Amino acid sequence: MAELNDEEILKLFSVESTRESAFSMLVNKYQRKLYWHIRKMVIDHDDTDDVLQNTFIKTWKGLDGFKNESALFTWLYRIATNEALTFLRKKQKENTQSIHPIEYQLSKSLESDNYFKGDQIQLKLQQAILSLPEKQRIVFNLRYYEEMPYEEMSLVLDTSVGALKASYHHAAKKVEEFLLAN
Amino acid sequence: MYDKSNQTNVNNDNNINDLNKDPGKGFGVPEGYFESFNSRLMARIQMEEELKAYPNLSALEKKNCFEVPENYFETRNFVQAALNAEDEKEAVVVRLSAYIRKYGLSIAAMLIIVLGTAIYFKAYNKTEVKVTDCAELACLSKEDITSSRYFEQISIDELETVASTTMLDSIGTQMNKEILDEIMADPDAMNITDEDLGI
Repeated sequence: MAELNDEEILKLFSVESTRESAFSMLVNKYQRKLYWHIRKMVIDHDDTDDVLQNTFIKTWKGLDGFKNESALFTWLYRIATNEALTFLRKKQKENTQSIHPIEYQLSKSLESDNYFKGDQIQLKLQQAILSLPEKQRIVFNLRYYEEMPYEEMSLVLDTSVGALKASYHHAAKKVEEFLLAN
Repeated sequence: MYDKSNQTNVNNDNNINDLNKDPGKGFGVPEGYFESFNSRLMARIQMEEELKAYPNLSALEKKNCFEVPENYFETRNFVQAALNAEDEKEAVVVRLSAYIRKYGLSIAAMLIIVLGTAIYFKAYNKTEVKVTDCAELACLSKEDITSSRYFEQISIDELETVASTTMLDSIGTQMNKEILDEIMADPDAMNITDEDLGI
Protein backbone atom coordinates (compact mmCIF):
# COMPACT_ATOMS: atom_id res chain seq x y z
CA MET A 1 0.00 0.00 0.00
CA ALA A 2 1.40 3.39 -1.02
CA GLU A 3 2.26 5.78 1.78
CA LEU A 4 -0.40 8.42 2.25
CA ASN A 5 0.49 12.07 2.49
CA ASP A 6 -0.13 14.06 5.68
CA GLU A 7 -3.33 15.60 4.42
CA GLU A 8 -4.82 12.20 3.65
CA ILE A 9 -3.76 10.86 7.03
CA LEU A 10 -5.38 13.80 8.78
CA LYS A 11 -8.56 13.31 6.80
CA LEU A 12 -8.71 9.67 7.86
CA PHE A 13 -7.99 10.64 11.46
CA SER A 14 -10.99 12.94 11.55
CA VAL A 15 -13.31 9.98 10.85
CA GLU A 16 -14.03 7.88 13.95
CA SER A 17 -13.93 4.52 12.14
CA THR A 18 -10.51 5.13 10.53
CA ARG A 19 -9.00 7.10 13.37
CA GLU A 20 -6.83 4.33 14.73
CA SER A 21 -5.50 3.15 11.39
CA ALA A 22 -4.70 6.74 10.40
CA PHE A 23 -2.74 7.21 13.59
CA SER A 24 -0.95 3.95 12.93
CA MET A 25 0.09 5.27 9.49
CA LEU A 26 1.32 8.48 11.06
CA VAL A 27 3.41 6.55 13.60
CA ASN A 28 4.90 4.35 10.89
CA LYS A 29 5.72 7.35 8.77
CA TYR A 30 7.43 9.44 11.44
CA GLN A 31 8.64 7.17 14.21
CA ARG A 32 12.16 6.74 12.83
CA LYS A 33 12.74 10.41 12.14
CA LEU A 34 11.43 11.45 15.52
CA TYR A 35 13.34 8.68 17.27
CA TRP A 36 16.68 9.88 15.90
CA HIS A 37 15.88 13.48 16.61
CA ILE A 38 15.13 12.63 20.25
CA ARG A 39 18.00 10.16 20.55
CA LYS A 40 20.55 12.82 19.59
CA MET A 41 19.23 14.95 22.42
CA VAL A 42 18.75 12.45 25.26
CA ILE A 43 21.43 9.94 24.10
CA ASP A 44 20.17 6.87 25.96
CA HIS A 45 17.91 4.45 24.04
CA ASP A 46 15.51 3.73 26.92
CA ASP A 47 15.10 7.42 27.63
CA THR A 48 14.49 8.01 23.95
CA ASP A 49 11.83 5.31 23.95
CA ASP A 50 10.04 7.02 26.88
CA VAL A 51 10.21 10.44 25.25
CA LEU A 52 9.04 9.11 21.89
CA GLN A 53 6.11 7.38 23.56
CA ASN A 54 5.14 10.62 25.30
CA THR A 55 5.46 12.42 21.99
CA PHE A 56 3.00 10.07 20.31
CA ILE A 57 0.62 10.18 23.26
CA LYS A 58 0.58 13.98 23.04
CA THR A 59 0.14 13.72 19.29
CA TRP A 60 -2.85 11.38 19.68
CA LYS A 61 -4.45 13.70 22.21
CA GLY A 62 -3.75 16.86 20.26
CA LEU A 63 -4.26 15.78 16.67
CA ASP A 64 -7.95 16.66 16.78
CA GLY A 65 -7.06 20.24 17.49
CA PHE A 66 -4.26 20.36 14.94
CA LYS A 67 -4.82 23.16 12.48
CA ASN A 68 -3.14 23.12 9.13
CA GLU A 69 -1.33 26.36 9.93
CA SER A 70 1.95 24.46 9.94
CA ALA A 71 3.00 21.17 8.39
CA LEU A 72 2.24 18.06 10.41
CA PHE A 73 5.91 17.19 10.25
CA THR A 74 7.00 20.47 11.94
CA TRP A 75 4.28 20.12 14.55
CA LEU A 76 5.51 16.62 15.44
CA TYR A 77 9.11 17.83 15.62
CA ARG A 78 8.05 20.61 17.92
CA ILE A 79 6.30 18.21 20.29
CA ALA A 80 9.30 15.85 20.25
CA THR A 81 11.74 18.69 20.94
CA ASN A 82 9.68 20.01 23.84
CA GLU A 83 9.25 16.54 25.29
CA ALA A 84 13.00 15.86 25.09
CA LEU A 85 13.84 19.18 26.74
CA THR A 86 11.29 18.60 29.49
CA PHE A 87 12.76 15.16 30.07
CA LEU A 88 16.33 16.50 30.32
CA ARG A 89 15.30 19.24 32.76
CA LYS A 90 13.43 16.73 34.89
CA LYS A 91 16.43 14.42 34.88
CA GLN A 92 18.70 17.28 35.91
CA LYS A 93 16.36 18.19 38.76
CA GLU A 94 16.12 14.59 39.98
CA ASN A 95 19.86 14.11 39.98
CA THR A 96 20.56 16.52 42.79
CA GLN A 97 23.61 14.73 44.17
CA SER A 98 25.63 15.45 41.05
CA ILE A 99 27.26 18.85 40.73
CA HIS A 100 27.75 18.37 36.99
CA PRO A 101 25.24 19.53 34.40
CA ILE A 102 23.12 16.92 32.64
CA GLU A 103 25.19 17.27 29.42
CA TYR A 104 28.29 16.11 31.30
CA GLN A 105 26.45 13.08 32.65
CA LEU A 106 25.17 12.24 29.15
CA SER A 107 28.68 12.57 27.80
CA LYS A 108 29.97 10.17 30.44
CA SER A 109 27.15 7.68 29.89
CA LEU A 110 27.98 7.62 26.19
CA GLU A 111 31.31 5.93 26.92
CA SER A 112 29.55 2.93 28.43
CA ASP A 113 26.50 2.92 26.15
CA ASN A 114 25.98 -0.50 24.55
CA TYR A 115 24.09 1.05 21.67
CA PHE A 116 26.81 3.50 20.73
CA LYS A 117 29.05 2.04 18.06
CA GLY A 118 31.18 5.00 17.11
CA ASP A 119 34.96 5.05 17.12
CA GLN A 120 37.06 7.39 19.25
CA ILE A 121 36.70 10.35 16.91
CA GLN A 122 32.93 9.90 16.70
CA LEU A 123 32.79 9.76 20.48
CA LYS A 124 34.75 13.02 20.60
CA LEU A 125 32.30 14.58 18.15
CA GLN A 126 29.34 13.55 20.30
CA GLN A 127 31.07 14.90 23.40
CA ALA A 128 31.73 18.16 21.57
CA ILE A 129 28.05 18.40 20.63
CA LEU A 130 27.03 17.65 24.22
CA SER A 131 29.22 20.49 25.44
CA LEU A 132 27.05 22.97 23.51
CA PRO A 133 24.27 24.98 25.11
CA GLU A 134 20.84 23.36 24.79
CA LYS A 135 19.48 25.46 21.91
CA GLN A 136 22.72 25.36 19.91
CA ARG A 137 22.82 21.59 20.34
CA ILE A 138 19.35 21.18 18.86
CA VAL A 139 20.15 23.52 15.98
CA PHE A 140 23.44 21.76 15.28
CA ASN A 141 21.86 18.29 15.26
CA LEU A 142 18.98 19.36 13.03
CA ARG A 143 21.32 21.03 10.56
CA TYR A 144 24.36 18.77 10.60
CA TYR A 145 22.72 15.35 10.86
CA GLU A 146 19.20 15.87 9.57
CA GLU A 147 20.18 18.56 7.05
CA MET A 148 17.00 20.41 7.82
CA PRO A 149 16.59 23.69 5.91
CA TYR A 150 16.65 26.79 8.13
CA GLU A 151 13.15 27.74 7.01
CA GLU A 152 11.74 24.46 8.33
CA MET A 153 13.83 24.66 11.47
CA SER A 154 12.44 28.12 12.05
CA LEU A 155 8.95 26.67 12.22
CA VAL A 156 9.99 23.86 14.57
CA LEU A 157 11.93 26.03 16.99
CA ASP A 158 9.91 29.21 16.54
CA THR A 159 13.09 31.22 15.91
CA SER A 160 14.07 33.47 13.02
CA VAL A 161 16.18 32.07 10.18
CA GLY A 162 18.92 34.63 10.88
CA ALA A 163 19.15 33.63 14.52
CA LEU A 164 19.30 29.96 13.57
CA LYS A 165 22.11 30.54 11.08
CA ALA A 166 24.09 32.44 13.71
CA SER A 167 23.36 29.73 16.27
CA TYR A 168 24.57 26.98 13.91
CA HIS A 169 27.79 28.80 13.13
CA HIS A 170 28.52 29.40 16.81
CA ALA A 171 27.87 25.73 17.48
CA ALA A 172 30.04 24.53 14.57
CA LYS A 173 32.85 26.81 15.69
CA LYS A 174 32.72 25.41 19.23
CA VAL A 175 32.66 21.83 17.96
CA GLU A 176 35.65 22.59 15.74
CA GLU A 177 37.55 24.06 18.68
CA PHE A 178 36.66 21.10 20.88
CA LEU A 179 37.93 18.67 18.25
CA LEU A 180 41.19 20.62 17.94
CA ALA A 181 41.69 20.83 21.69
CA ASN A 182 40.96 17.16 22.34
CA MET B 1 25.90 -12.52 -40.34
CA TYR B 2 26.23 -8.89 -41.15
CA ASP B 3 22.52 -8.56 -41.57
CA LYS B 4 21.88 -10.21 -38.27
CA SER B 5 24.20 -7.90 -36.37
CA ASN B 6 22.77 -4.99 -38.21
CA GLN B 7 19.34 -6.08 -37.06
CA THR B 8 20.57 -6.17 -33.44
CA ASN B 9 21.89 -2.64 -33.77
CA VAL B 10 18.52 -1.54 -35.06
CA ASN B 11 16.82 -3.18 -32.04
CA ASN B 12 19.21 -1.45 -29.64
CA ASP B 13 18.50 1.88 -31.27
CA ASN B 14 14.80 1.25 -30.80
CA ASN B 15 15.37 0.54 -27.07
CA ILE B 16 17.37 3.73 -26.62
CA ASN B 17 14.61 5.65 -28.34
CA ASP B 18 12.11 4.08 -25.98
CA LEU B 19 14.26 5.01 -22.99
CA ASN B 20 14.52 8.58 -24.17
CA LYS B 21 10.75 8.68 -24.46
CA ASP B 22 10.12 7.17 -21.01
CA PRO B 23 13.40 6.53 -19.18
CA GLY B 24 11.70 5.63 -15.91
CA LYS B 25 9.60 2.88 -17.42
CA GLY B 26 9.03 0.23 -14.79
CA PHE B 27 10.48 2.35 -11.94
CA GLY B 28 8.83 4.69 -9.55
CA VAL B 29 10.05 7.78 -7.67
CA PRO B 30 8.59 9.51 -4.64
CA GLU B 31 5.94 12.08 -5.32
CA GLY B 32 7.39 15.45 -6.28
CA TYR B 33 10.92 14.06 -6.48
CA PHE B 34 11.93 15.85 -9.69
CA GLU B 35 10.08 19.03 -8.78
CA SER B 36 11.97 19.36 -5.51
CA PHE B 37 15.30 18.06 -6.82
CA ASN B 38 16.73 21.47 -7.60
CA SER B 39 15.96 22.94 -4.19
CA ARG B 40 17.32 19.84 -2.45
CA LEU B 41 20.51 20.04 -4.47
CA MET B 42 20.99 23.72 -3.63
CA ALA B 43 20.36 23.01 0.05
CA ARG B 44 23.01 20.30 -0.03
CA ILE B 45 25.53 22.60 -1.70
CA GLN B 46 24.77 25.25 0.90
CA MET B 47 25.39 22.69 3.66
CA GLU B 48 28.77 21.77 2.19
CA GLU B 49 29.72 25.41 1.83
CA GLU B 50 28.83 26.07 5.45
CA LEU B 51 31.09 23.30 6.67
CA LYS B 52 34.08 24.50 4.62
CA ALA B 53 34.86 27.00 7.36
CA TYR B 54 35.39 24.12 9.78
CA PRO B 55 37.97 21.76 8.28
CA ASN B 56 38.09 19.29 11.19
CA LEU B 57 34.36 18.96 11.31
CA SER B 58 33.95 18.63 7.55
CA ALA B 59 36.72 16.01 7.43
CA LEU B 60 34.69 13.72 9.66
CA GLU B 61 32.50 11.11 8.12
CA LYS B 62 28.91 12.04 8.80
CA LYS B 63 27.38 8.86 10.14
CA ASN B 64 24.93 7.74 12.76
CA CYS B 65 26.86 5.92 15.48
CA PHE B 66 23.83 5.14 17.59
CA GLU B 67 22.04 1.82 17.35
CA VAL B 68 18.66 0.55 18.39
CA PRO B 69 17.77 -2.91 19.73
CA GLU B 70 16.96 -5.43 17.03
CA ASN B 71 13.47 -5.04 15.51
CA TYR B 72 12.77 -2.11 17.79
CA PHE B 73 10.69 -0.18 15.25
CA GLU B 74 8.92 -3.29 14.04
CA THR B 75 7.86 -4.47 17.49
CA ARG B 76 7.34 -1.25 19.43
CA ASN B 77 3.64 -0.43 19.45
CA PHE B 78 3.26 3.30 20.02
CA VAL B 79 -0.34 3.25 18.82
CA GLN B 80 -1.41 0.91 21.62
CA ALA B 81 0.55 2.98 24.14
CA ALA B 82 -1.33 6.10 23.04
CA LEU B 83 -4.67 4.31 23.26
CA ASN B 84 -3.86 2.98 26.72
CA ALA B 85 -2.83 6.41 27.90
CA GLU B 86 -6.15 7.81 26.81
CA ASP B 87 -8.02 5.20 28.82
CA GLU B 88 -6.09 5.92 31.96
CA LYS B 89 -7.52 8.72 33.97
CA GLU B 90 -4.91 11.25 34.79
CA ALA B 91 -4.25 11.36 38.50
CA VAL B 92 -4.75 14.78 39.99
CA VAL B 93 -1.58 15.67 41.81
CA VAL B 94 -1.82 18.66 44.06
CA ARG B 95 1.62 20.13 44.34
CA LEU B 96 1.91 21.87 47.68
CA SER B 97 4.81 24.02 46.53
CA ALA B 98 2.89 25.30 43.52
CA TYR B 99 -0.14 25.93 45.68
CA ILE B 100 1.93 27.92 48.18
CA ARG B 101 3.59 29.87 45.36
CA LYS B 102 0.20 30.79 43.97
CA TYR B 103 -1.61 31.60 47.18
CA GLY B 104 1.42 32.38 49.37
CA LEU B 105 0.50 35.98 50.07
CA SER B 106 -3.09 35.13 50.91
CA ILE B 107 -2.00 32.30 53.21
CA ALA B 108 0.54 34.54 54.98
CA ALA B 109 -2.02 37.32 55.44
CA MET B 110 -4.56 34.85 56.80
CA LEU B 111 -2.04 33.41 59.28
CA ILE B 112 -1.08 36.89 60.49
CA ILE B 113 -4.74 37.81 61.05
CA VAL B 114 -5.50 34.57 62.92
CA LEU B 115 -2.38 34.75 65.08
CA GLY B 116 -2.84 38.46 65.75
CA THR B 117 -6.42 37.98 66.82
CA ALA B 118 -5.47 35.08 69.10
CA ILE B 119 -2.66 37.06 70.76
CA TYR B 120 -4.91 40.09 71.19
CA PHE B 121 -7.64 38.12 72.94
CA LYS B 122 -5.18 36.27 75.14
CA ALA B 123 -3.25 39.34 76.24
CA TYR B 124 -5.75 42.17 76.47
CA ASN B 125 -9.26 40.91 76.55
CA LYS B 126 -9.63 39.45 80.09
CA THR B 127 -13.11 38.28 80.94
CA GLU B 128 -14.68 40.46 83.62
CA VAL B 129 -16.59 38.65 86.38
CA LYS B 130 -19.77 40.42 87.19
CA VAL B 131 -20.04 40.29 90.99
CA THR B 132 -23.78 40.66 90.99
CA ASP B 133 -24.11 37.54 88.88
CA CYS B 134 -22.17 35.42 91.30
CA ALA B 135 -23.21 34.47 94.76
CA GLU B 136 -20.09 32.64 95.78
CA LEU B 137 -17.23 33.96 97.84
CA ALA B 138 -14.63 33.38 95.17
CA CYS B 139 -16.35 35.83 92.89
CA LEU B 140 -16.55 38.65 95.39
CA SER B 141 -14.16 41.55 95.56
CA LYS B 142 -12.56 42.55 98.85
CA GLU B 143 -14.81 45.60 99.05
CA ASP B 144 -17.90 43.44 98.69
CA ILE B 145 -16.73 41.11 101.42
CA THR B 146 -15.86 43.85 103.89
CA SER B 147 -19.16 45.65 103.40
CA SER B 148 -21.21 42.48 103.58
CA ARG B 149 -23.80 42.23 106.30
CA TYR B 150 -23.00 38.57 106.67
CA PHE B 151 -19.36 39.24 107.26
CA GLU B 152 -19.45 37.53 110.65
CA GLN B 153 -20.33 34.23 109.00
CA ILE B 154 -17.02 34.12 107.11
CA SER B 155 -14.32 31.98 108.71
CA ILE B 156 -11.07 33.49 109.89
CA ASP B 157 -9.06 31.57 107.30
CA GLU B 158 -11.20 32.90 104.47
CA LEU B 159 -10.96 36.38 105.85
CA GLU B 160 -7.21 36.23 106.09
CA THR B 161 -6.97 35.38 102.44
CA VAL B 162 -9.02 38.32 101.31
CA ALA B 163 -8.41 41.07 103.82
CA SER B 164 -5.36 42.79 105.19
CA THR B 165 -4.74 43.00 108.95
CA THR B 166 -5.29 46.73 108.96
CA MET B 167 -8.66 46.34 107.40
CA LEU B 168 -9.57 43.61 109.89
CA ASP B 169 -8.70 45.96 112.76
CA SER B 170 -10.98 48.64 111.44
CA ILE B 171 -13.68 46.07 110.80
CA GLY B 172 -13.31 44.78 114.38
CA THR B 173 -13.68 48.28 115.81
CA GLN B 174 -16.77 48.84 113.69
CA MET B 175 -18.25 45.50 114.82
CA ASN B 176 -17.72 46.31 118.52
CA LYS B 177 -19.42 49.64 118.04
CA GLU B 178 -22.37 48.01 116.25
CA ILE B 179 -22.77 45.41 119.03
CA LEU B 180 -22.61 48.08 121.68
CA ASP B 181 -25.23 50.09 119.88
CA GLU B 182 -27.48 47.04 119.61
CA ILE B 183 -27.12 46.38 123.36
CA MET B 184 -27.83 49.95 124.21
CA ALA B 185 -30.91 49.94 121.98
CA ASP B 186 -32.27 46.80 123.64
CA PRO B 187 -34.08 47.74 126.90
CA ASP B 188 -33.69 44.22 128.24
CA ALA B 189 -29.99 44.39 127.72
CA MET B 190 -29.65 46.85 130.55
CA ASN B 191 -31.05 44.23 132.93
CA ILE B 192 -28.34 41.71 132.24
CA THR B 193 -26.50 40.82 135.34
CA ASP B 194 -22.90 39.91 135.71
CA GLU B 195 -24.03 36.31 136.11
CA ASP B 196 -25.72 36.42 132.71
CA LEU B 197 -22.52 37.62 131.29
CA GLY B 198 -20.57 34.89 133.14
CA ILE B 199 -18.30 37.35 134.90
